[in-house]
Amino acid sequence: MKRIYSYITVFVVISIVTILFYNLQNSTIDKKDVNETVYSLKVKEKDSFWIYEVYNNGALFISQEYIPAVKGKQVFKTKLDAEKIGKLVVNKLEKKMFPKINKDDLNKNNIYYNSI
Amino acid sequence: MKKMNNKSILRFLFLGAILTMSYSCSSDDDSDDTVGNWVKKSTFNEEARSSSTAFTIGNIGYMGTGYDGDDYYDDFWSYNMDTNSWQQLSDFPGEVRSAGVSFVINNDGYIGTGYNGDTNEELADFYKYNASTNSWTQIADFGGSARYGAVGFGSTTAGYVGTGFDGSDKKDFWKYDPTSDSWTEVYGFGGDKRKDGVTFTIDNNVYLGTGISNGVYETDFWVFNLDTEVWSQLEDIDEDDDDYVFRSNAVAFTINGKGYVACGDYGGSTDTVYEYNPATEVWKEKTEFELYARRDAVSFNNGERAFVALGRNGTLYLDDNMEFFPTQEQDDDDN
Repeated sequence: MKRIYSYITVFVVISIVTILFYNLQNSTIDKKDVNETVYSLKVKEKDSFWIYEVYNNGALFISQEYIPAVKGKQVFKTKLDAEKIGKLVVNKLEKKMFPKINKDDLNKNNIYYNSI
Repeated sequence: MKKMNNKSILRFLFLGAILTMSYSCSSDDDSDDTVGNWVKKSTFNEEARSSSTAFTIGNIGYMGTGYDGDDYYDDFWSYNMDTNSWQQLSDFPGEVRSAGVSFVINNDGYIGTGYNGDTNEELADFYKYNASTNSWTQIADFGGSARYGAVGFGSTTAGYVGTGFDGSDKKDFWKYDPTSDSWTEVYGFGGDKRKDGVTFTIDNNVYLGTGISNGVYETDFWVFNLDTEVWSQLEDIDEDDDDYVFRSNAVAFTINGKGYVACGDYGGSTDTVYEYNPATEVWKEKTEFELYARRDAVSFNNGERAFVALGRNGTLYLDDNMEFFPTQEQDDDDN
């Protein structure tokens, strides 16, 4: 009978240690992931149009003055337009995709541009 | 069973300790011998690609096209050396591609040729990028055969493209005249045919070297004078037995009147960097590239500052961007 108790104690101790170990490991991994991919978006007014900036851990990474992908120096006419595309860029970065915007992205978000 | 596990863990630890020791020893040796420091700049975190094409106008580097192991690209970006930030520009208007070539004439950039792996075709189309309007115009197709892995360079009046691979290795050179929008062949390059060589420009002289042909790394070294359009042969790059300049798929750039050849492939990706002094015609090894060794990277270079970005090491595609300071001491804390 005593033997069973000591077996149970050993089992419980091992379980607790294992669970604690995994939790600790997971939490450090989570922290690391978050630290590596902190992207933030700033939408700014410049003259009479809007630009977006993407920051990586607080450092300027992308400063987008023109509507990406389209021909010419076309600008975002509204804050919402710049914000929508900026958010899309951040989403792509967070999914570890290349942060490139194509014309489909612009059309889906109803961004106005001239197709010269 | 338990014994086995312990043994293999011990073996791992032992191996790890040896690796760590040999690694730190070799980097110690290098920092004793060579000068130069690489500093990490704004990076496409995990958004990696190689074989892109790049050129520089003033303090802005332009980079586009390329291959990430799955997809070929046609997007186009600028990197501002002063603000250390990127901006996506007007898409490259030709089909997606890798290993294209570029040159700058005055303040216009040109990108053309290359390889589209989706259609398995070498390409000859060419486009001009106007930075002041952020727009592309198609120009006359490249005068030579469709190819990739060529070299390109420009003067204030013309662009030049030569060597490369069109199914076999090439040594022909062509000149693009923007006023007549036409290509004419320029003769006189007496070097070996090759692909994936590099050039760097110091004043009015363009230096051409490295590259590979039929598995052999080329060791001949040439200079082309942009005023006289004459090629002259210089001492081979393997003249000094201690220099290992020869390689393929490298990048080259100029900082304050000296030329640099960095990274590339020599039976595997390499991280070595060599400096060429045109006054003494001597090569000197510099601090190796301080991140992954790589091939098919791009370089942004305005004659005073140089950045090396992207590329790949085997099937690992790379995302980072490093600036090189050739006269500084190596510092491991800024990578």
